[in-house]
Amino acid sequence: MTVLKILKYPHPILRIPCPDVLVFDRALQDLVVDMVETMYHGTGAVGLAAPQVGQSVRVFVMDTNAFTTRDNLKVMVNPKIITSSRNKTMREGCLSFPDYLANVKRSQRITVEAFDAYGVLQTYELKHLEAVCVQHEIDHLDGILMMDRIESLKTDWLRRQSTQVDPDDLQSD
Amino acid sequence: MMPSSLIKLVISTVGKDRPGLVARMCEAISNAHGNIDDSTMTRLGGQFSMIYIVHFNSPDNLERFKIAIAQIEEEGLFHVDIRSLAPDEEPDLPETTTRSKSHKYLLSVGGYDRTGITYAFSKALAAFHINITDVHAHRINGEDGIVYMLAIEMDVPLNVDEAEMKANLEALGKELNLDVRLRSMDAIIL
Repeated sequence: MTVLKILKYPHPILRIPCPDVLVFDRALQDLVVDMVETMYHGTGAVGLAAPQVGQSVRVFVMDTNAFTTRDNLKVMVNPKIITSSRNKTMREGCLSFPDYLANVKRSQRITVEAFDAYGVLQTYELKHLEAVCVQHEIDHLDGILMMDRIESLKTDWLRRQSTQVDPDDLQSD
Repeated sequence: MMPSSLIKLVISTVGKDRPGLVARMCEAISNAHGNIDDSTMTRLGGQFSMIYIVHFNSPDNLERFKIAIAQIEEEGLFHVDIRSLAPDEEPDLPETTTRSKSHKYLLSVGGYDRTGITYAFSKALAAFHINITDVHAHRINGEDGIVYMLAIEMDVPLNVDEAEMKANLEALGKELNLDVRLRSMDAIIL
């Protein structure tokens, strides 16, 4: 198992739409193992897409319990969203865009079909955080980044800012 | 149109960011019976910047406000610039019509920092008579150097050939080795 390097914007691979996986071989399974290890390795993320580790293939891993029990791992190869519900705006961050947050409209319930790492087709009915995570990761597989999803620069594109101030600067009022 | 007795100002401030700046400014305006018509405020590289459009209903109130501002500047909280607005500079209130005179677009540009990125793109937009309405530009740490992120929200006149505009901006991005994305932000009126 290897912890992989996470690529950040503006690495060009993040903008390339990924081709489908055609062969479910040992190399794919090793990639998945390494991506899971990387996601759990203190990234602070609940999902990781292959282009973020430099592999332009339609694969992502996710675990919405990545910070706690790590018991909700899903591996999706060649994922396709079959049905989706109405949208709700969610605030998202991205490992490849660590300095920004974005408000993005995402479906709250989806049905997604995807292969596992061994080529077995799975169907998932997902909602809330899991549904949002799948949509974010599929965007990565399509070369789409958070900034491409915002609807207003003023309200939806947010720089992570430290508001810490020097205690000497605090005013008495 | 505002009554002629009203005094309208644009007030710009900048100072080192710390808690209480907004409150202090609004206190000065409120105590002088000023009314905030419009404002924008943001943190910028450790500085906090505020721009207000404010009106006062008498010279006495304006004088009271200026005294309060002098006190704030003396304390070194922030620098304040005050300019009177001529009647023909009064900002238009948002139109209530749903018929748009332009298309709204978002241009996002990113890549390794170099001088002249904002100039290059603003110049390209000006050539199309495109009105920039909002800009966010930041330098962030990238893997191989400093990354410059530029996002421009803009009103594109209806007579602009959008395909030509897109081609020009993408060619500029290619020339400067920058990731360039342009997309429509037009609202759907239902």
